Amino acid sequence: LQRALPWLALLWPLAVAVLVFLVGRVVLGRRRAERDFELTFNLSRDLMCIAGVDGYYKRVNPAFGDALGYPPGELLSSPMDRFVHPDDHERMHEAIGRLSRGEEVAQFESRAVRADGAVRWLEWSARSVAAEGLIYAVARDVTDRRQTERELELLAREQAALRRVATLVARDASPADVLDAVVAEVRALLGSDATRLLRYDDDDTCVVVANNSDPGTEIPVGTRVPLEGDNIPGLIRRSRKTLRQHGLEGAAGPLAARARSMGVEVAAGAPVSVEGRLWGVMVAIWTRRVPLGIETEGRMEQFTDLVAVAIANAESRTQLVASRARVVTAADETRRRIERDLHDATQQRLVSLALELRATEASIPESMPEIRAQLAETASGLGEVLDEVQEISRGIHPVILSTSGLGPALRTLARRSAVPVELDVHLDGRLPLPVEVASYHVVSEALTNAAKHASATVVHVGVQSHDSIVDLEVRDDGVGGASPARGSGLVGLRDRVEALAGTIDIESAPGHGTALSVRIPIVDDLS
Amino acid sequence: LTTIVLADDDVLLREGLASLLVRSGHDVVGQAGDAEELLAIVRRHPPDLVVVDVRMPPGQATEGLEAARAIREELPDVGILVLSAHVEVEQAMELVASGDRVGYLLKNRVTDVEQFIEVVERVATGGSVIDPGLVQELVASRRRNDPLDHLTDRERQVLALMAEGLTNSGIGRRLWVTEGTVEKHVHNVLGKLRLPETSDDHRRVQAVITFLETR
Repeated sequence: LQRALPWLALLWPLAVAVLVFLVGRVVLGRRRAERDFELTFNLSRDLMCIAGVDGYYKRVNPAFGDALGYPPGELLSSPMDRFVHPDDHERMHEAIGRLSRGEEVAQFESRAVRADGAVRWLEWSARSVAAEGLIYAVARDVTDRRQTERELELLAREQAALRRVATLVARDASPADVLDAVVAEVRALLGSDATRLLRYDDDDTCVVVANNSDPGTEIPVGTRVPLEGDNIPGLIRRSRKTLRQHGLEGAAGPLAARARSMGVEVAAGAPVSVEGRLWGVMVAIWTRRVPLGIETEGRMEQFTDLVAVAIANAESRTQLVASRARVVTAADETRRRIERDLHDATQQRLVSLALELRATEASIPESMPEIRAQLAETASGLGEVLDEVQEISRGIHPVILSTSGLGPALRTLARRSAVPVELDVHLDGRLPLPVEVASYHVVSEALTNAAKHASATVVHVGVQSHDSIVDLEVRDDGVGGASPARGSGLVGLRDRVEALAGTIDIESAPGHGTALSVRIPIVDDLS
Repeated sequence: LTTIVLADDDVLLREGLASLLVRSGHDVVGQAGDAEELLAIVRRHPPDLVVVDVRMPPGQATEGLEAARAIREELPDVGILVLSAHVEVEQAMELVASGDRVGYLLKNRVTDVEQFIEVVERVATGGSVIDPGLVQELVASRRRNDPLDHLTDRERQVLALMAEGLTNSGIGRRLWVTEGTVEKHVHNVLGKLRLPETSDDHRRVQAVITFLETR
C-alpha cells in the first residue's frame, strides 16, 4: 500500500478532474436540454401550456397567447374557464378530472374563445404529473379542418336532400307533396326558422303554397300576401334575382311589418321560374342574427329549380288531360249533333215523305192498281230506310243518356246484350254528361267483348257514385285472357276514361273471366 | 168521329198526319207547333185525343212528354198518343202509369197507315198501346233464370201482344185464333209468370210491361 500511495496521491487530482468533468457534462447537458425545451416551447407553432389542477394556467407559450389574442399575463391571472366556450366547460372539467387521476387525454376537442370573441376549435393532447399537480398540454388549432368537415357534411346532406326531392319529382308526386318536401328540406338544411314557397297571383299579391315552420313564424298555406313594400317576394318580383335582407328596421309595407312582429332578423329568397316565366319565390327566415354563408341563395336555387320542374310537369300533365278531355268532348258533341240532325231533320223528313206517298197512294183511283202497288212499295221502302236511320243514330249517340241519364241507358244496354246481364246501379241523381257518356261506352264495350270473345254466361255490371267519384265494374264468367293490346276497343276505353282523369284496370287471367274496373272523378268543369 | 189535336214542330209532318187522319174519318180540331200552344188549344176545347211529339221547341228535349203529363193532370179524359223519334221503356212505363187511354209509339210507325189508324182508334176508345218494337226488345232481352223460358212460342206471342195493349179479341184477330183460345193462352201465361188475372186491359198492360222490365 505504501508503495502505491504516492501513485494514489498522484492520481487524486486526476480523479477529481474526471469527476468535475463528468459532473460538468451532466450539468451542461441539463442546461442544454432546458435551453432546447425553452426554444421549442417558445418557437412552437403548436399551443403549449402547463396548467395546474387548480384551474389556472401556470405557463403558456407565445403561440398560445397569439392564438387566443391575450397577453400572457392575462392568460395566467384568470381562471382557464374564462377562455373556454361556455358550452364546453363541463367537458373540460371532466377531462381535467381524468388527467388528475393519471389518465392520458388525447384528441380532445374543445372550443376556445378569443379575445375578439371569435371561437376557435382546439385539439388537445395532455398528461399530468400527479406529484407536481401539473398538467402538460399541447393543442392544435383545428378550426379550419372542422370547417371543411362541416362543409363536406353539409354538402352531403344537401345532396341527399336534393336527391330525395328529385326522386319525388321523377315519381310524378303531386306538386303539393313536392313543395312540402322542398320547404322541409331547405329549412333543415339552412337551419332557418321558417321556409315557405309563395306563388305570384297577380301584380299585387302572392299566395303561400307551402310552409314549414314553428307555429310562431307560420304563415298558413292559402294566405294571400300583398307584394307592396320592402319584402322579399315583392323585391324578387321586380328584380327576378336572389336576395337577402338583414334587419327589417325601416322596411315598409304590410309583409315587412308582419315579419317584424315575428321577430325576423334575416331573410333570404330565390325566384322560382317555370319555363322562363316567374312563377313564385322561396323564402327562408331567421329570427336570430345568423351570418349567412355566401352560398345560401345558391343552395336555395338548386331546390327552386326542382320545384320549377315539378310544376312544369304538373302543368303539362294537366294540359294533356284537359286537351284529351277536349278532344273526347268535342267528338261526343259532334256525335250528339249528328244524332239530332238524323232524328230532327232526316227522320222527320222521311216520315213526311212517306206520309205524302201514302196520301198520293190513297188518291189514286182503284182503276190504276199498278201505280198504287208501286207507290205502296216505295212507301214501305222508305219505312225500311227509316228503320236503318234509327239503328244508325242509336250507334252514334244514345239519346236516352241525354233524356233519362245513365241508369235507364244502362238498363237499355243490358236488355240488348246478347249475354244476360245482372245490373246493380246505385247513382245519386244525374252525373255530368261527359262522365255518363264515358261510363255508357265502358259498359257497352265490355258487354260487346263479353258476348264476342269471352263465351260468358252472365255479366255482372255494378255502378256506384259516391264522394264525387263513380265506380264501374263489369265482370264476366268467361274465358278471360283479354288484354288491351289485343283489341282496340279497350284502348279506346282507356283514352276515354283517362281523358276524364279516371283510371281503368283490367283483370283477365285465362280461365277466370274478365273484370274491368273503372273509376272516374265527377267533375263538372273540365278546364 | 174522334176529335184530335196534333202537336209537332215540323209543319210538313203535322200536315201529313192531319190529312191522313182526316182521310180516315177523324176530325183534326187543332194543330200546335210547341207544348205551350198545345196546352192552350187543349184547355180551350178538350178533344178526344192528343197526338204529340216528345221533342219539341224550345229545348228539343222532352217538352211533349211534359205537356202530356200536364194534360193528364188537368184533363184526365183526354186520350194521349205520344210519338217519339226513339222509344224508351222508362217513358212508356211512366205514360202507362198515368192511367188508361194512352199510347206510346215510335214516330216511324205512322207510315204504316192502317196500323197507325188502328192505334189512334184504340187509344181514343179507352185502350192502351205500347210500341211493338219496344215490347219486342223487352221480350227478347236475355235474363238468367228467365221465367219466360217456361213459355211456349205461342205463349210468348200472346204475352207480347198483351204488352202492346191488345185485348183478347184483338189478339185473336192478330193470331187468327178464337177468343176462347186466346183466353186459355192468357190464363197459362199469367199463371206461369205468377201475374194476377184481371178483366181490366189497361192494368194488364201495366202489369205485363212492369214484369218484363223488372223480371
